[in-house]
Amino acid sequence: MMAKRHFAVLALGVPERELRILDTTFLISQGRASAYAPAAEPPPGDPDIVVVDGESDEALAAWASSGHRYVTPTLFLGKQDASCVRSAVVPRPLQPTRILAALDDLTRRFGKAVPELIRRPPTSV
Amino acid sequence: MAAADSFAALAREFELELLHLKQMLALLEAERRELLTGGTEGLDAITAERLVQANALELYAARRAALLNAQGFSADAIGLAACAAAAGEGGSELAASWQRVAEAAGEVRDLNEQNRTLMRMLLAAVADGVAVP
Repeated sequence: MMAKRHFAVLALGVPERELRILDTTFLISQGRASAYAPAAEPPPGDPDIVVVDGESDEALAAWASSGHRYVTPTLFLGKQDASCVRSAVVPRPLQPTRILAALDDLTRRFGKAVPELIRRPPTSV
Repeated sequence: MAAADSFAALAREFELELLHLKQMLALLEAERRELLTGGTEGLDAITAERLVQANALELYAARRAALLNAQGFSADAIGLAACAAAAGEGGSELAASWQRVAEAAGEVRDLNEQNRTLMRMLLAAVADGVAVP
């Protein structure tokens, strides 16, 4: 099976200002071995990764009731929910490259990503 | 704090807030250039600096509100107009400073919204590309 290269990311309860930082992260990721884009909505499709504000009770409640908690790898912003095994955390203040590193970490551990270091350019036959 | 000192403090805050707004405008213009040319190399640094400036602007807005409230004025345009009227001789300069801040803040909001729209258009194109099997 071919490894996945594009990942749909669903943001849950992320503040407007930080959505902008996420958008920048998605743009920066284009053209890399693992690229990220916002999940289609509404309704949200089947995201590969969920991003949640780990410091917002409302966001955590939305995440817990969304059905993604035990299924979808989750990236927490600010603070991690230790009960979620398939997760990573990015401390605030947020920076696109840090978010990108955490997304790559999640896809390496829980997805079917092409490892960045072993990706080779296509060769002619 | 005496009223005259408060008015002077408010005028100084406006000057500093204006500097941060100009810095934010420069960053948004740089971001726009990156987005329009399809470059992403500079976006990370711009975003980090934009966050710093946004935090500074929030701080100045809070300090402005505190200074106005301490003088018995509301922390909005009406309160500022009343404050300028009460400032006596320095009132017109205070009002002019506020006008410069308000105009720069408007430019920041507009450019920020334009960049956001541009970014969403670029991402929509990416998402369309991803959807193709």
